[in-house]
This record gives sequence, C-alpha cells and structure tokens, in this order.
Amino acid sequence: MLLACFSQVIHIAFPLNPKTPTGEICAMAMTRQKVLDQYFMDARHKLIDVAAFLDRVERAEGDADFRLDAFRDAMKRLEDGGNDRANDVLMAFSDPTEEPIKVAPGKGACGAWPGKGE
Amino acid sequence: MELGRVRASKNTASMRFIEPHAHMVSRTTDDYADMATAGCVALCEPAFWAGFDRGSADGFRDYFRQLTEYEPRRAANYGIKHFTWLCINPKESEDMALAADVLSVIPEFMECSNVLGIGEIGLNKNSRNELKVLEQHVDLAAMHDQLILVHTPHLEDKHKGTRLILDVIKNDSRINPERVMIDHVEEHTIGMVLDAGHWGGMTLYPESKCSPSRAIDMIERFGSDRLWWDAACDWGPSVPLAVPRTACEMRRRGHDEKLIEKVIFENPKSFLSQSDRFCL
Repeated sequence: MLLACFSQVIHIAFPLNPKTPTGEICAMAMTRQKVLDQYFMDARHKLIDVAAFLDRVERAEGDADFRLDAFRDAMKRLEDGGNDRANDVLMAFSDPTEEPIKVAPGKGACGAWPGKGE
Repeated sequence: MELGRVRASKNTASMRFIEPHAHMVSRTTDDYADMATAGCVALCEPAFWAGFDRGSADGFRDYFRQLTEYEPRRAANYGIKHFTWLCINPKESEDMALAADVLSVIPEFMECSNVLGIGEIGLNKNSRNELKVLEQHVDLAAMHDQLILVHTPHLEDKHKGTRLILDVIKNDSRINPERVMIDHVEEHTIGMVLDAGHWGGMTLYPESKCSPSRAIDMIERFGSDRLWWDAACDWGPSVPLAVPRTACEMRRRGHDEKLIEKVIFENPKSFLSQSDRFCL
C-alpha cells in the first residue's frame, strides 16, 4: 500500500513523456492530493460550463457548423491516457495541412479548422 | 485558476519582473502605475496591428515614433525601462506594396536607443504573401544583426503556422536560433520551438492562448530554460499584471523563489541582453 502511494507520487513528480525538456526539469511541487485540493473546484466549474454550453446548443434552433463537430471530437481526447491531453485537444482543433494558403480570407481565427473548401 | 482570481501573497511586494511583451500604446497610465507597483522594472513593446489597417507607411512612421520617443517617457515616469521591436504585423502583410513601403521605413529607426530588434513578425492566416513578408523581415534582421521576436498564429492556425515559421528561420543560415524568440507557444508547439534551439514565450490571456495553470504546467514539463511568460496586454481582453499573478500561482504550488525569479526576470533578461541596448 505504501509502495503504491509512493509510486503515484513519483509518477506525478517525473512526467512519463516530457517531449523536449531543456535544462533542469522542475519537479512538480504538488502531490496528486494537493492538485485536487487546489484545482478540483476550478476544473469542476469549467466542466459544468461545458455541459451547459452543449445543452444550450441543443436547445437552440437551426443548423450547427464545423465548430460543434470539432468540439465533440476534441472532447473525445479527454479520454486519452498519459499526460498529453492538452496537446491532443489543441491538435483536434488545428489545421492539419502543411502548405501556405493562396490568400488570407480575413484576419480572424474561429478556433476550429473549417476543413478544405469551407 | 483564472487570472483575476489569484490572490497576492506577502511575497509579491518584493518581486521584480520584466514584462517582455506589452502593447502599452493601448493601455492607460494606471496600468503603468499598477505594473510598477507589482515590481515591473522593464517592458518590451513589439509593433503590432492597431485593430484596423493603417493606410500608408507614414502611419507606421508615426507609430514607430510613438514607440521610440513617447512611450519610453511615459514608462520612465513610473521607473520602468521601455524597449521596443519594429515591423509590419502579419495581419497587414497581405498587402505586399504596403509591406514593402514599411520595410523601407524601419531602418530609419533601427539606431534608436530602445530598439531591440525586428518584431513581432510571423504569420496570421498562413498565406503566401504573409510568408514572403516574413522572409523579408528575417532578411532585414540578418542584414542588421538584429534580434527577432516572432508572433505565432492564433487558435486553429497556430500549429501549422509555427511549423512554417520555423522552416523560414531554419532556411536562413545567417540566423542564430538562440537570437530568436517564438512567442505565444502552447502545448502543441512548445516542443518544436525548443527543439529548433529557439526561445519560447507563453502568453497569459484570460480567454485564449495560455492560462496561468497551463503556463506553470509547461515549465514543470519542459524545464525552465529558454522560456518566458508575457501578458501581451493590448486593446483586447488581456491583463497587464498577468505575469506577477502567475508567479503567485507558481508560489501557491510550492515552487521556490529562485525558480520563479528565473522565469519572470532572469530568463527575459538573458534573452534580451543579447542586444547591447538592453540594460536595466
């Protein structure tokens, strides 16, 4: 039991897959319990806001667009294992193409890639 | 943790920090006072988009005068040293003729005492014209041996744009990667920026880019070398005290003062000191 707890702390202190650490790795200063104490209420609040946003979209009339599909796809990334979920969610919203576009269609970004032809 | 909800601790008063990216032409004098009170000793103001397209190179000339003459005096009233970067922002780079005119104006200001280099250049929508203007800016920086500050695109365009930007810089053999700061990195771009040998900036915005919690997560995961935080406070939703507030958040996690000072003071000082003009 003691060993299990210890291994959990070690897992937090030394992330399994830091991609490109530069110099000294700053060992995480918090235990898993401290993370929950400090961030659970904030994350809970944001999760309920997401749920309410989806309810609001469902209640509204008319068609949705590519952003809702991208949002739902990004939510699936939350089920990924490991500690790269933020990266995975960001990538789910990102333009996957590699070539520059011919002409900028405007100045703004909408938060999700509309796909080719949109 | 949201920016506005981080409470100051008793250590805040003794904290010193450098705000390496702030668009103070958009801010009130009260913001200068608040930043000085929180421990800001120097700030850097890159040229950026005004929220509307300027009509001519003369509009930029006036803006560059504001950045090199007027804002340093405003900052000095609060004991803050003011430095700046010059360019035409990628949001206005689609107009190649205007970009060429502005690029010809920049050298007039390059010898001003608070100019650190060329920035914030980069991409916005990742278009061909933006890419050409980026290459011209990089060429200008190389010819005049200037530091480079790069803006990476927003939201869905950031990952692709960052890759394109890194390719442009890599293709110019005159550019030393350590003299290039790639700003607005997030979890999906920070690795490639550090791998390329550049510095990375995390921009602390209340609605987009990066939250204090995520910025600290990235320090914990990627190490504290070659990284800084900035507020990039401008005319949109942004918080001039984002850096000291994130430092407070880092303290709440239990990180020691030496590490915090490295991120908010020593790191920006190290990068910016590559320009002889940066002195505190």
